Amino acid sequence: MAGLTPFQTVGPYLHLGLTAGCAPMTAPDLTTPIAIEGRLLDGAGNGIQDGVLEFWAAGFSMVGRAWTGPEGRYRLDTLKPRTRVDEAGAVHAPHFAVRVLGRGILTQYVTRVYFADEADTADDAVLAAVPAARRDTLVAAAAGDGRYAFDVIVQGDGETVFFDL
Amino acid sequence: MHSSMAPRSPLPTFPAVAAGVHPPADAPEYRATALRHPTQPLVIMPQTLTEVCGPVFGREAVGPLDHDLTRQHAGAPAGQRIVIEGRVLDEDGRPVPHTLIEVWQANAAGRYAHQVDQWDAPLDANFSGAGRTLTDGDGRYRFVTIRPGAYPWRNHHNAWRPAHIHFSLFGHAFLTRLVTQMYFPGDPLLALDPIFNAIPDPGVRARLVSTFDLTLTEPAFALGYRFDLVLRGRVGTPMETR
Ligand SMILES: [Fe+2]
Repeated sequence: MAGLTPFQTVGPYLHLGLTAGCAPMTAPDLTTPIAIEGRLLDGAGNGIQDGVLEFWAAGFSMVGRAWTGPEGRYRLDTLKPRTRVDEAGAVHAPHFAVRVLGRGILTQYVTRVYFADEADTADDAVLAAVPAARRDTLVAAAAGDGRYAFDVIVQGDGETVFFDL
Repeated sequence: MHSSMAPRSPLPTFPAVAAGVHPPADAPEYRATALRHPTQPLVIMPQTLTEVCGPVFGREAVGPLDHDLTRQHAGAPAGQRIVIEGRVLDEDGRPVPHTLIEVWQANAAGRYAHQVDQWDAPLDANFSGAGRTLTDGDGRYRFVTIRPGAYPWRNHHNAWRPAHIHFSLFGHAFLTRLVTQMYFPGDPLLALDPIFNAIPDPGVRARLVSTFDLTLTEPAFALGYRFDLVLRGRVGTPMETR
């Protein structure tokens, strides 16, 4: 076995290098445009302005990168994924895997975003394994016009669930 | 471009990452981690299709000069020209072909061409400090650039980052992604750097230090450094990646 290369932080100048995937996310069989927007927040409730969220779902052409700006705000324009039922019959509600990178983040924090207005969210196989009291941190609220509100809190009250993969 | 999906074959699974490879989220010597590390335990989840596939980058993802940071402007940048070559492998030593590598770095004076970097070192109009390339069929890559300078930061009194180049790789799955930094052998600042030393095991840390390689050094052109990277490996059915 070759030794895995360890992570290091992207540091404050991440925007220089992380340029791929800034093109629109497309998927051949998806048609519903949506925007996911919110804030990336630290343990003091302040916005993290030097971070990036990377969104991914199976079937897309590209990872979606959303930079955080003033007050930690970000916005991703994308398409809404569909429910998938796997070979074992498990329901996978529409979701994106989300990776958080930034200054002060030595590795990566991996989470997911689901959609509150999708009926299958309640039956999702992965979400069901998350402690019930914290499931809400993974569900984006519908804010009208195809917009969804999703904050990522890396520490403290309402801390977002991060996964060990 | 289409993402890699293997609907009929069993999904590949990726062995868990051994403890102690990656730095901890909370590293007090690196002060910015204080308010930016989770305090709740990570939730263990199964690997699903979402995590075991990923974006596929085609040839159009990189331009012909993207791998050569010394030829992106009218003139040559100041500093010591270097070539960096290496292979991207998985944990079983298999090459990771056709995967995207993005790099970014300071110029020879230790200044980033970034509006946030305002310390008193000169910018270089001939150096932007960003590059990208795809590995070839054997997982090999090559960059031409200049050796970056060390730079000060505000973490503690008289803090200086060792010379480094940031690397970002995707691999072929969501969970093979890696973002790291390459360092240079013999740099006296390495022993003092809280980011490098956040990796607890010195043997693991050493994986981030490139090696000087005379066989990569090109006469009257550039010094050569070798830097191999290892991404998470998979067991089970190999996936189609095209
Ligand atoms: Fe840096």
